[in-house]
Amino acid sequence: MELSPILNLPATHEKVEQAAINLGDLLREHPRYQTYMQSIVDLQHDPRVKELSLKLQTTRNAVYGGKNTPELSGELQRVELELEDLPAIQTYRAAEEDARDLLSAVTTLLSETLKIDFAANAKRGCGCGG
Amino acid sequence: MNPNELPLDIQDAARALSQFLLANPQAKAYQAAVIALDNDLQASALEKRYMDLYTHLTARQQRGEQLSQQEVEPFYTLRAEYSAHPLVTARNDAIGAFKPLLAEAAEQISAQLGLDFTELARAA
Repeated sequence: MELSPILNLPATHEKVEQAAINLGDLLREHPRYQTYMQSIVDLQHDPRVKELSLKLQTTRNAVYGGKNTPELSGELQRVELELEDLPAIQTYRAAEEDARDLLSAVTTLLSETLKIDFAANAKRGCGCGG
Repeated sequence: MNPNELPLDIQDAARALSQFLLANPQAKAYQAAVIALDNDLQASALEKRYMDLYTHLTARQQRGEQLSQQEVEPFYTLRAEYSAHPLVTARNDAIGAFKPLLAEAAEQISAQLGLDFTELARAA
């Protein structure tokens, strides 16, 4: 009987997987990550965010759909600014920045120990070189 | 945030992940290729010259300066020489072989977090 590729993995490969899962679990429990996730949930339930997001989408469609006028461009800018000014958005942006700071510290630590830029290189290649 | 400010359990987990990654043949081959390049005076000087010129020219471009053909041609020549150097090629090949393992680790972390771990971290 032929073993599946997963069963044929060398022990170090399994250890990498387990260590990555463990690191992910610990990060998930970190208050900065929890706050960031909560801010996303809060955004999704904020009626004013929903209303302005819909308005933004409609205005964008008009501006980029060939119906642009100076008034529409101004309206687009106004809605964008109004959306960014909402407390829920500002809370989300701050929480995102904090979470980014946390994850960036982790990738910096990984990069230092591996002697390679982890975040830049931990991507699936396109198979086109480079 | 400085990595030293991370909670100790996260620091330990990140270091453990690094150690398991480094135990793989792809990582060992990458490290050997980096050392070989660093230890070769000619190759490391070539890399430094290439990186310095690249940084200088891109900084000027980002300031909105137009680069003349006379300035760009030596860069292309240097790039060709750099890219063809066997130790540079070997190091780049080794990175290419190591990347899928790094990607797999990142994907596992992302799966736990429900977001793209490296994408969010990179935007810092």
